[in-house]
Amino acid sequence: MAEPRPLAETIAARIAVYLGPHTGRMAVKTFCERALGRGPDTLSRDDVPRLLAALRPMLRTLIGAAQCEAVIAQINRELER
Amino acid sequence: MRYRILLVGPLLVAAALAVALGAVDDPNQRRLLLRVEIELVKLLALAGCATAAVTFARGDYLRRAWALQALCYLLLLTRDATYLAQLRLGPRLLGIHLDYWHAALVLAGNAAAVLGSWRLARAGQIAGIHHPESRMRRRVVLGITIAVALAIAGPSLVIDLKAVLDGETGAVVPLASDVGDIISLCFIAPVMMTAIALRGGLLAWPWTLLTASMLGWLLYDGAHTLGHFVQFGPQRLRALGEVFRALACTYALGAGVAQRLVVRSSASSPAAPA
Repeated sequence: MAEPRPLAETIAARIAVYLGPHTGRMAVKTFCERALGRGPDTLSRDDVPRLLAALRPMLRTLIGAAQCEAVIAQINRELER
Repeated sequence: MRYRILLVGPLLVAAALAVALGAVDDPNQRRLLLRVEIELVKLLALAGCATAAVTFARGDYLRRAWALQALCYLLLLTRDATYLAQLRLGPRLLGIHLDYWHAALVLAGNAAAVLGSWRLARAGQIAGIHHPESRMRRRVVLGITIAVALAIAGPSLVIDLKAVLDGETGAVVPLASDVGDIISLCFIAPVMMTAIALRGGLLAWPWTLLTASMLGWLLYDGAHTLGHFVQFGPQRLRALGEVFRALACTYALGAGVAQRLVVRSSASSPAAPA
């Protein structure tokens, strides 16, 4: 059985659909450090809402509020699996 | 596949236009062909930018950016329409000479283009995206872009500025247009940088096509500048300029459509490997 994907990787992969792999990964790293004060490797389930809140303005700017919420809902669904 | 069509389509349109302009010798037919082409490509650009604008909700950052781009094309089309109105209504509209209407519409169109391009150019910064290139390299690219924009649109600016200083008030409109062109062309660098930062993602498509549109306008201005220095033949030069205009406008259509496709894409489409 495959190991579950780390949380940060799942989030980065979802936003990379829009932002590309480099910017997706860097966005998760940057906003993790900004919102939580630590790196994406330390991300726990409890941190996810704060990280997603930090990512929201970026996504809203580039894909609009409606699509941003759809992407965040999709990320939450993927993390619940 | 749809995005690739948006990338290749404008090249095919430009090639078809070049062939058509090469094939038509009769001056009346040529004039008609150019008029139809100019209005058609502006309409397509308007449709693309308006499509992108309405894709976003009220309050979304990019809605206003695309709306301003659409407004620019709308005002330029309105200016063209006043030429037709002149044939039916005479030289005045609502008691004001049509030259003043033309001037006001061109000035407003340029202002909208500058503001729209400025908002698009700032989107990457506002979003806080991380650029893969170093700050130094980005500054070099920006410097090169400003130098190229000045080299291409600068000569026209100098000529029109001299005309204004010599008392030709009519040259104020092309002068303002030149200033607008230079400012808008300088925004190519940040838009291109955004496209590069987003490569591999769906959003790279609208930004790449937008960069292509801006480069098309740069080449369009370049074709006009070339006329000041090289004996290329006015007919050939005009054809060259129109091919670049067609590229600029059809890539604006493509960018707007790509923007809509991205924003309306399914949020659950397969994720890229991180």
